[in-house]
This record gives sequence, structure tokens and C-alpha cells, in this order.
Amino acid sequence: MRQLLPSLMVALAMLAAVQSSAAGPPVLAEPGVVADDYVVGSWELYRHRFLTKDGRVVDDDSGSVSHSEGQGYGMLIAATVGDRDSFDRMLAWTERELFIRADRLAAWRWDPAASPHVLDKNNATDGDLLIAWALQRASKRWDSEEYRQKSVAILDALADTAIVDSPYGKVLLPGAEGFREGEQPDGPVVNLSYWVFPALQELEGLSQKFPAEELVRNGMSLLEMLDGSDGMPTDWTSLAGAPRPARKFPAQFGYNAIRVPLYLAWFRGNTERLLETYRYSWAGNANVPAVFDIAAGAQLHSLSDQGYLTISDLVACKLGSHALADQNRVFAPTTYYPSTLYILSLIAFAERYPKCVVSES
Amino acid sequence: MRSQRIVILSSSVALGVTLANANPVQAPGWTPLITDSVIAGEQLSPATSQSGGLTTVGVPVWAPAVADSAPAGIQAPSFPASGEAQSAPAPSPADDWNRMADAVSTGYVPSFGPSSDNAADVSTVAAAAGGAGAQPQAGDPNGANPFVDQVVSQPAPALSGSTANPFQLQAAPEAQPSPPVSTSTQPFDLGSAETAPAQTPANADAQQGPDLRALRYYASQRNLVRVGAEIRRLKALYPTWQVPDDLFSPVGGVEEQVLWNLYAVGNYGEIRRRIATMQAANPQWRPSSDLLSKLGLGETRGRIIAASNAGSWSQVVSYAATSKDLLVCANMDSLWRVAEALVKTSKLAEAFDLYRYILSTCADPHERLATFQKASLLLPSKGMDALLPFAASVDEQTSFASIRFDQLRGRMGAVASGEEQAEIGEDELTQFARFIDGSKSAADATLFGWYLYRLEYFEDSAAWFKAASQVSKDPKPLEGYILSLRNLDQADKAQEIAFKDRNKSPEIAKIYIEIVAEQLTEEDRDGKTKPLTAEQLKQYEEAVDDIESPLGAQAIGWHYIDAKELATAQEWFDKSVKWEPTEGGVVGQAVVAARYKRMADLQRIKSTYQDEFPALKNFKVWKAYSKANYNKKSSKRTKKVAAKPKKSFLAKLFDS
Repeated sequence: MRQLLPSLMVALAMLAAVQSSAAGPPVLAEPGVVADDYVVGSWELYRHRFLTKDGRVVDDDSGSVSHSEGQGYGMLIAATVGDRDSFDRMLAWTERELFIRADRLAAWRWDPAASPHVLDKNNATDGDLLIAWALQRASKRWDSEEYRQKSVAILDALADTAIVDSPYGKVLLPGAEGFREGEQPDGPVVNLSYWVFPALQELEGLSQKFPAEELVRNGMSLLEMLDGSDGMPTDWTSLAGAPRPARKFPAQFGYNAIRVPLYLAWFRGNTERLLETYRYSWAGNANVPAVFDIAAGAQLHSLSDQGYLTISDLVACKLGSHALADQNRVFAPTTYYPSTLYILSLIAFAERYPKCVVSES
Repeated sequence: MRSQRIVILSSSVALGVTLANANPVQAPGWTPLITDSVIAGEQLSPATSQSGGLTTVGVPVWAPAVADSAPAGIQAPSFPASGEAQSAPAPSPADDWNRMADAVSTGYVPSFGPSSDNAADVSTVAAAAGGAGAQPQAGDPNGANPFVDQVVSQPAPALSGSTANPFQLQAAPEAQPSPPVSTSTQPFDLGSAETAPAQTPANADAQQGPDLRALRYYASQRNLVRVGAEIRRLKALYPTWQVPDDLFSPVGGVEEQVLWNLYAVGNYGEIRRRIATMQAANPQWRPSSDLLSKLGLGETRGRIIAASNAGSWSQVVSYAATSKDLLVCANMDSLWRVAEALVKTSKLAEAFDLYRYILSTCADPHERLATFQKASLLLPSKGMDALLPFAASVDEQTSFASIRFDQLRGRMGAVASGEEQAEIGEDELTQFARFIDGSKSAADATLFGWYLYRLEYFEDSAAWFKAASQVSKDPKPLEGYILSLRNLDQADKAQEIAFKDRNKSPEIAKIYIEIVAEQLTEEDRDGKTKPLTAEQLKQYEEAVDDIESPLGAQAIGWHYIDAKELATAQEWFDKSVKWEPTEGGVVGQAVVAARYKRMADLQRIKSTYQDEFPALKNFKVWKAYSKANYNKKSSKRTKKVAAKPKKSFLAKLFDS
């Protein structure tokens, strides 16, 4: 040919164009689906497995007990996928069985084998926060003032009973009782995985009393401080001085704190730098999260359930364009906790990064 | 004349020159002579297709009524001034293009527009399909199998007394707007391929409330994402509907849930091991028949995947033959693999039947499209013609009509890129051309252009490229158009367009540099180069400076050497080497030094570059520059008669 160089180049470009212009199916593992479909379908199997007819989410990891956290997660997912029947059943059960305190907070644990079912009336603020978040989403989805007021009441009660001032500004205690200065040898003690950042973000402005925005800010700075020393947070953190592993708890990044990267990735905002810590840590373990002994600086064991692996996918997705792995696209429920985290991760994918799930969204 | 190889200078080419001359400064968007005398659907007056006294065939392209005035199989492509093209000043496609379509050369001149007896039908279809897609001559509208000698495949009534179908739950969701898609729940019967699948009309029985069969089927398969998609669909139809609680029935008890979990992730081997273990512990226990049958199907699916991945096609066919229930819409991947295996084992009739089964039975639009696409890569074209009528909607018809040519596109692409030599049959090209006429696909027209360009039918490739660039802002067809003109020895026009559009793509800028470089450095038989105007030269110098083209700078350098302006020549060679040391640039510097008799400079250039550029070794320091020293490598470009010595270096740069 006369002009070999240009003609070759254009020919190559043209070939590429031919391939992409072919009116074939989009490159989808499952054609015709949107990211939400993964959530909706998985929720159906989830509720079949973990939700009783009367609206109780069963934690089969812990002797089929239930707790406010599980009710909050269940209601949140139901509100998100639009399953109003299930939502109302869970709400009714929660109000009947757990809202037995004088305030609008939920007793944290319910045991079918105990009598009465609730032995400890203390609350867990992650459960309260999740229930408030679920109610807020439900009030929007179904345009319900009643749900909204219930959400506000919980937030107000949290502000009254579980939010205290500290050298790091206002902090969210894990419960109304037992974590303040004086109640712990190194109190106040917080659990940063109870600071559900995407919930705080969406609840901002709902209650006059509840300092959602400040909690986000303070929580993030605490994580930044930990990032400077140990990297990942322990499940329980003492704020008596510089943030450090709380004395009465294992100094571990464990089953609690695994939710921190989930919430950071779900959060609408720049959390990439914090997330790098997790990705870096897991990269040495084939991207599988692990329980990590912060004090010993050693990995204890891998968290290889689907729910944890999907969090790892989610973090990688926010930090780049890593797609949801094939083996994490089919929900294979094992037990309550990782199964729940799995669906939460799917929601985060669907709400924030559908492109990591389907090629067209 | 410089043109030796392209013997026929077509009237269309001559016309192109005429057009360019008549309107030297073209507005972007190709608006030569005609402005608004031609619009889509209007018949072109023959008068407008006469220009410069050249005989052209003015084929009205949008008027089926005059189809018989077209020369057989040869018509110009014409894109109506619509859509994207309208944003540019209205082009005069028909006019221009029809002129291109005179009786030159290939016979593959773009043949847009109705030219055959079914032209009227074509235009009807195109209109119905939103202007796209001339319908290729389709086979039997009943979808008869073209690979069966005796056509017995009349659509059969619903088969009765057939084996119970475990997939009856799986049905075309009622909302599918797909007339030919039946609600057949019959698996594809590999054993009796000559029997057409049942094509019962869509079950129009009024349903009370949502039809949950598909939902329950997907749930039974643990296909959760499909469960989600189906719920989404049902909720859109029935906003107050709630998903039933018993979607995942507790059949099999607690033990079996574990097995279903394994089933969900496809770990069939582990299920078998667990079943064995559980039965050893409790001989009374047995898994549900539901699980066992799905497990069996899953295992067969796995075997089919493994065998087809390994290319063991006859094995694929035999697995499929022993697992009747596998061949249903829910196992689309298996259907595709089996169909491919049938083709690969020369069972074309059966393969066709399987594709037909999918298109007449399965509802998922993406899968249907993919099916047609896969078939298009495997079945001979008569098979594709026979499948076309199974499009379920006008949209799908349009897509099918396009996909049908995928295989041809691939072959044309291979020819165009030089991977393959074989030319393609005229019938196919004619059909494709007719299709493009309807679809107005710039990508297809461009592909046609490159195909013809590779075969050196430059006047025809120019026509296709021009059509493509009328409907697309993509610079690629424009590049093709310029390159075609260049090969038609319309360097002036090519140069003019390339200069005007050089900012549209780096490639065009490069082509521009090359065209002018060639003009500056190539001699004709009498040893003359074709002079640039002062304006052209100035433009060129600016463009070369703009993109810092070493090649362009060299060409300018040689020009100034010829003009005996050594100082200016030196500036340009110095720039060329500064931007990128190349043999041409360095030799240019050497020549200037030699002319100036600056032997020290010459020696320095030689010692710096002669390892890199061996041509310098032959450069005799003590001699004045002489052609003979350089003319050791003749140009690849056979069209050019005599090349200046320096041209051999340029040619090398062009060609390497």
C-alpha cells in the first residue's frame, strides 16, 4: 500500500470500532439486570433464612437470639428494597419486645430461651441508630410522618443519653450505661463501628438535638488519629488520653470493626485515604479481610465469609474500579452476621457504585 | 502523468476535482455545489448530477418508484440530510454520491437505495423500522429450515402428550411485547429437529394479578438477581403487590438448605459428597427430587461447558441429547453451546432449529439479541435470512438486520487490515450496501470504505468515506476520504481538505504533513516537483511548526535546498533533528554542510549519527552531494516514477 503507516493505524482503529459497534449484548454477567436487583433478590432469600413471621431477625451465630442491631439492619434493608410488609412486622416486633425502656431506645438483646426474654435493659447505640435510619428511609419511601417522628424520637433520646463531650468533641457512646469515664477503667470508651457514617449523613438535620454532622467529623478524625499510629481501629477504643485500644476488650480489629470500612465506603465523601489502610492490610492476605491483633501486630485469622469478601470488593471498588467478584454475586447465606454484611455491601454497591456491579446502569 | 497504476480515472473522480475547484473553500460538512435541491425522499433531478460535462449516473436514491433507472446493482450511497448530518450545512448526498457511482471499476460502488424488485418492500420495512435496516431477502416467512431438504417445519400446534416439563413455571412473563414469542414451555427437542417447536399464540388468558411463575422459577433456581429483576418488573406493573413469603419453600428441611447453598455456588461435587455422607449416617434420609433433578441438570451443564471449552463438539451434542430438560430458555448458555456444537459437527439443520426455538420461545431481549448474534457468526447467511422473521418487535428487527452482517463485517475488517486476502462475494457486498443505505450507519460505511481502500478501489472507497463523514463527526472516515483522494492523485484536494480539517484528529494532521511532504519532494519523470503556492507553503510551515513534525521539516528543508536557499534549509533540518533525529533530517544537515563546504560540521554530523543512520557512512565528505549516493533504495511506491535521492529516506519513513 502506498501509505502503510497511516493506513495500518486507521485500519486498526477501524477494527476496534467495528467490534464496539456490533449491536451485541452489553457485557453483563446477567443481562437485563440493574444493581438493585442483586439486593432485592438476596433480601428475599435473607428474610426466608433469618426473619421469622412475626418480624424477628434471628442471629443464628449466637443461639438464635435477636438484638436491636439485627432489627435495625433488617428494617433498613426492607425499607431500602421496598418490602413494607416485612418492615412493618419488624417494627412491630421491635417496639413490642425491645422498646421497653423509659426512653425511646431499644433494649439491646432478646433471648428466646430466657425469661424474661430481655435480661439487660441497656441499649446498643448502633442498633438505635440503625433503627432510626431505617425509619427515616421508610418515612421517605412511603411518605410517612409517623415513621419520621419515630426516627426523630430515637435520635433525640440518643442525644440525651448516649452522646457526651470529650477531648475529641461530642462522641457517641456504645450504650447509655457502662462506657463513660468512671464506668470503664479507661473510659470513655467508644466503638467506632457503631458510628454508622452513611446513617449519620442521611440523618443530618432530622433532629434538633442530634449532632449528626459533628459525629461524622469527630469520628473521621478519630479514625485519622488511629490511622497515624496503628492503622486500623480496634473494635473498642479508649478516649481517656490519646485514642488507644480499650483495656477491658481484646485489642483487635475484629468482627465489630470490620464494619468501619463498609461504612466508610458507603459514605458519600472522600474516605479514600482512610480506606487505603484496609486495602493495604488485606492485600497481603489475597484481599481477604482478617481479624488482626493490633497489640501483637499479627493477623489472627481470615474473615473469608462472603459478607467480608464483599466488603473487600466494595473497598476496592471505591478505590478504583474493581468489579464485584463473580463468586460474590450469588448470595450463599451462611450465618446471620456475614449474611447481613453481604446485603449491606450490595446496597452500598447499588447506591454508590452500580458500575462495579453491572456495566450499564 | 504520475498515475500509473490507477488506470481508470473515473468521471466521479474528475467530478470531485470539479467540485473542489468550483468551491475551493468548502464549509465543514461537505457542501459542494448542491445546497437544498436534494432532500431526503426527494427525487434528484438528473440535471443536478451533471457537472463539467461529465457523464454521470444520477440515481435518485430515495425514490423507489424510479428504482429501475439504476444501473444493475450500482447505486450511490446517499445519506439523507437528517440527524447528525443536519447539524452541518445541508449536504447534497444523493447528488454527489450518485456521480461517484458511474460505471467505474469495482462494481462494489456503494449501492444505496432500492434497486431491486423488492425495493418497495424495503422502503416499507425501513419506514416501519424507523428508517433503519433494509430487510435482506428473507427466507420463508414461516421460518422454514433452509438446511432441511424437505421442508416439513410448519409451525406445529401445541404439542400434546409430551413428557411432563419440569420447567413449566418458566414462562414468558406476560408483559413481554413480543408477538412471535410463544409461551411454549416445551424444551428444545434435539432428537426430532425437523419438528418445529410449538408456536402457540401467546396465552391471552386474562390473569388476575401478577403471574408469579417466572418469579417462583427463578427462586427455585436460586437465581437471586433474576428474582430481584422479576420483582422489580412485577412491582412496576402492580405497585401495591408484595412478594409472597413462601418464595423459598422449606422443602427438604434444614439439612437440605446447606445443599442448596452449595447448589447456589455451583459446587455440585460437594453436594454429592454431602449427600453420600448424610445417607451413610441416616439411610432413611434422601434429598428432595427437586434438588436431585436440578443437581443432575447442573452437572450436565458443567459437562457441556467443559466439553465445549475443550472443543469436543460431538460430546457436547451427546450430553445435550441425553438431558432433554436442559434445553430450555432458562439455560441459555447451554443452548448457545449446544447450537455451536451442532454447527461444528455439521448439523446445520439442527442448529438452525435450535436457534429458531430460542427466538420463538425465549423472551429475554438481551438473550435473544445475543442468540441472533451468535447465530450470525456460525450459520451461513441463508440461515440468518430464515431467522430474521423471528424478530419480536420492530426494534428487534432493526437490530437483527444489523447483526446479520456481523460475520461479513468481521471478514471485511480482516481484509481491510490485511489479515486476509480473500475478496468477498458480490452478493453479500450488495446486500450489505443496501442495508447501510437503510441504516445510515457511519461505522458500516467507513468499514466499506476501508475494505475497498485496501483493495485499491480508491474512487469507491472515497464515496463510502464521504457518505460516512456526512452522517458522523468521527474523523476516521474523513481520514479515509483524504487518503483515497491522495491515491487518486488528487493531491491538491486531499491537501486542501487535510489542511482544513487537520485539527479534527492527529491522524489527519499527519496525513496532511505527509501529503505535502510528498509533493515537495517527489519528482515526476522530468525531474520536476509540483510547486506549492506561496500560500500553501506558508500554511504548511505553520502546521509543521505547530505539531513539530520532523518529517515535515525535512520536506521543507529539501524544498529550500532545491530553491538554493541553504540558510533556510538548514533552519528546517535543524528543527527536524531537534524534534527527533531521523535519517532524513540528519542527512539534510549533512547536505547543507557539504554545500557550504563546512567539512568540520559534516565530520561532526557523521561521527555523531553514522552508527544510528548507516546512510551517512556512504556520504562522501569530500564530494558534493550527489543523487547517486542515496538512490540505493527504491521506493515501495511503485506508482511514483523516479524518486529523488532524498525521497528514498522519506519513503522509508513513510513506509516503516
